[in-house]
Amino acid sequence: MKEEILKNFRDFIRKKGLKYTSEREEILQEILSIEGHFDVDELHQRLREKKKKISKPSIYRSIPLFKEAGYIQEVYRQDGHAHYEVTINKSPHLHFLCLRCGKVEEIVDPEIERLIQQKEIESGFKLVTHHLESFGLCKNCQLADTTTLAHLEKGEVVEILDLPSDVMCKKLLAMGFRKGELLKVVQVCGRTILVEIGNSRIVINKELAEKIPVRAVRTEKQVEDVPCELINKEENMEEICVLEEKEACMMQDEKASLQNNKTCPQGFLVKLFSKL
Amino acid sequence: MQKIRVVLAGNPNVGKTSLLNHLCGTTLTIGNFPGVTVEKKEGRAFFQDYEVHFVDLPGIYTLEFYTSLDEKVAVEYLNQGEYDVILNVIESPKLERDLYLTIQLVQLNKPMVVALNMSDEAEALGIKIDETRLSELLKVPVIKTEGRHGKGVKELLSAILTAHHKKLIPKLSMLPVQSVANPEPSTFDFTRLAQGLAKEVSQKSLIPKRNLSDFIDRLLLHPVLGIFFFFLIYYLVFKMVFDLSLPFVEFLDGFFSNFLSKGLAHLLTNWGMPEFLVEFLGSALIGGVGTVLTFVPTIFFMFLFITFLETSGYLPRVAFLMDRFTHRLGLHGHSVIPLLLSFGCNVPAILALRVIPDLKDRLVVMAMIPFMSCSARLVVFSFFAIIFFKNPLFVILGLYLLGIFFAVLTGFVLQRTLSKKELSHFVMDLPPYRFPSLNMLFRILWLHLKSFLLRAGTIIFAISVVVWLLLNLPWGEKNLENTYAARIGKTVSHLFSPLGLNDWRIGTSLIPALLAREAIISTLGVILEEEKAEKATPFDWKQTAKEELYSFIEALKKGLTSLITPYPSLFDTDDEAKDTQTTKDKIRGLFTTPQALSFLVFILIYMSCMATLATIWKEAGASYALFFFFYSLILAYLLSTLTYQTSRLILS
Repeated sequence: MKEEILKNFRDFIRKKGLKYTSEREEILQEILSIEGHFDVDELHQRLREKKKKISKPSIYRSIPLFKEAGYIQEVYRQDGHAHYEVTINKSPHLHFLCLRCGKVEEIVDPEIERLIQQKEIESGFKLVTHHLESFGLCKNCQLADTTTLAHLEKGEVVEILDLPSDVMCKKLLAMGFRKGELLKVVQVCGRTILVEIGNSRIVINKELAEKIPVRAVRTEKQVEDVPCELINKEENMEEICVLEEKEACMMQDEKASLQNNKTCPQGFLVKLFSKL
Repeated sequence: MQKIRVVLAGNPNVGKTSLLNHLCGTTLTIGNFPGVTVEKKEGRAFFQDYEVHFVDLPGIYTLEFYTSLDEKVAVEYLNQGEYDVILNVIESPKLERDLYLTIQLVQLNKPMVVALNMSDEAEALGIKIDETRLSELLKVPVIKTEGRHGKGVKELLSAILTAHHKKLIPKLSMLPVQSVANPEPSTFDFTRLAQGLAKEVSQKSLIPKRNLSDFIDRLLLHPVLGIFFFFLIYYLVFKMVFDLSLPFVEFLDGFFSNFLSKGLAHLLTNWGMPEFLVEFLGSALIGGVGTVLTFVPTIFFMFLFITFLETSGYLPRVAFLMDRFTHRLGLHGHSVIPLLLSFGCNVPAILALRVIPDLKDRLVVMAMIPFMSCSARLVVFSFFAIIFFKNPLFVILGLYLLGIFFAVLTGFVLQRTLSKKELSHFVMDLPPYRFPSLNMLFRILWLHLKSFLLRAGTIIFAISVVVWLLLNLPWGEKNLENTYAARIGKTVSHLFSPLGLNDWRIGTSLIPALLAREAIISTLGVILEEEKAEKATPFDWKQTAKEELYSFIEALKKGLTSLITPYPSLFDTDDEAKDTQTTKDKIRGLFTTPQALSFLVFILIYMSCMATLATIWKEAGASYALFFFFYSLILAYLLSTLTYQTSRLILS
């Protein structure tokens, strides 16, 4: 099996008109023995442990070749460098990528494999490798997002997730609090916070605010930091649209131009959202 | 003439009062709802052979429940249905929120007129409301109004008549019919309907939202700067209230005692009236009226500025800002407003307590308020401090702080003993800053002033007369020590010897102070006046009138120039040149410094104002009022004794 791969690789190199080196073969051999995800540092470390003197730059130079040949693929980027996985001989699986923390979950389900095989047969397509990625927020990051009104800082904008049905919360409802509406924290002062909702400014104490679950949408400052042409997720787009019509209109234009220019580097995206 | 009863209902701060002011003009009165101390504003308007009677209800957010006494009164009033038409006042910029209440008001099945108030504010925010569409949907008249300028008020009146005649009961086809057969609480979602209605009738254009309120709030609600501005504003108000009023107080004092009283006596003697009647009319009656009126300038300016701060929207912000301090006492920021008002006068402060929803919180603050030095006490303090101390400012400030200390101590102890649960929730709507219309400001001011003159004024006047009688009866008794007043004073003064106040004249002056603290000075004045030998000064009408005119101009000038100087001229000591033989000089001879100090502490601590006691009595019951009356009396007795004994040791 391994031999076959190595033979294929030699053919691939030759076809490209490149020189075949034992160094490249050693790297590939090492990669094939790895299960799970890896980055260049890890790979370098493993080779060193096996007393193989291969420099990091050589590894960096080889990686694009392996990628091109379809042996490995980049799974995600974190802290400025990419993480890869071996694609060959691995059953098709789904990656759940967290946009915020960059965590990757592998979803392995025979159902996915079955579906792909079925489609393969139906379409008469010959599959070589798989690349299935879904982006979103992982459980931890979601929990970090949903907090209560009591824990917000000045300037934060949140969406009200729910209003409990006790009397004081009902009063808040009558005062203009609505489930699903956005509110902005204007000022926090000791035990009380001042929020703005619609055209109303309402003071509520933190004990009561503790009962109201909210989800962070953004803070005023961060939106200024993020260049909007990089945002191409429709959901997030809408959230911000509601906020400031003016700002949203500007972004709508950006979105249109984005659709023409379809290549949005995935790494950039992850980096961008990890900032949010 | 037919009568129509109209009730004004709406959310808080939607401008009901300013509309009412324009609707009713001078017929506006402020009273209480029967049995409770919730403010009730009423007025009448005469229109097309109808007498339209308006009642303003406290602001409410919903009819489903209530969380404060104010809301309870309003909800019950609306549910009882003893009115013909509901005037539903909506704050246009907050249309959706107000429609939520409107939908509930619709279910009361009463003729209704909707006033889209503050329509100018909504336009400034880019909100366009289609009132004809709203009128179609609700099937009642909808009128755009501007409470500040009174725009749309005439149309409101005719709309009310139409609604009354044609029985225009609002109907919303989307609302489920609440039948008697189906008494289970409706699970109908009012918010959805309100949202839908608001969307249907309003349009919002894109105007960048950056209004003045935002900017001012950034400064005034800043956790650090906000406190600074609060003290600055409070200082300015304090300074203006007293500096503007002081010259007028002095003028009125002189006008009554030097001009009217003497002039009348001169006139009556010439007519050959008996001596007793001359004295009684001249000194007791005119003097009494004079005493009452000297409080008018201070109370006028106090209510002017407090009402301004309240209607401009600053006072609720103070509650927000101060909550971090008051919550240590287990109290809401709400309680700062009544406590601050109590520096002006304890009685309105106790009435202002009804903004606090929780009964126990109310009781705690109520017990604290009498310790806060009201302006009446300040009159006595400054009067004495200027006479007896080199640094009257420090003495007055010290007394204020002592009062605050005991207020806090009392609050703290009560908070522990009233088996206090955790702090109840605090929710408050901050209205945008608004410049109140001067017309409304002065009308409210006048109503407060009138109620002072009628309630407190009559008491003070009565006391003055009684005191004069006590001092002059039995008639013909030349030796003061044999009058009724002196007999009472002598008995009391025995009790006061540990305090150093064993002079019968001091004891006597404390008796009327039970009814009004300011009366201390006038009583001492009367007592000392009687002591001096009859001084037969020839009275010249023309000359005195001219002098009084000059002194009035002087007062005006002084009041205005005092505004330019940065510190309160109230505490200036060098403007005593007017009369050489005034009451002040005589009081100087009556007290030693430790005695004066002990006297001031006593006046500060004990709840000597019957109006305050009566208000607490009404609000919290007789036992609570009497308990705190005796509590303050005992505390005052002990503290004064301590003050007298220690200060005597230090000064000797």
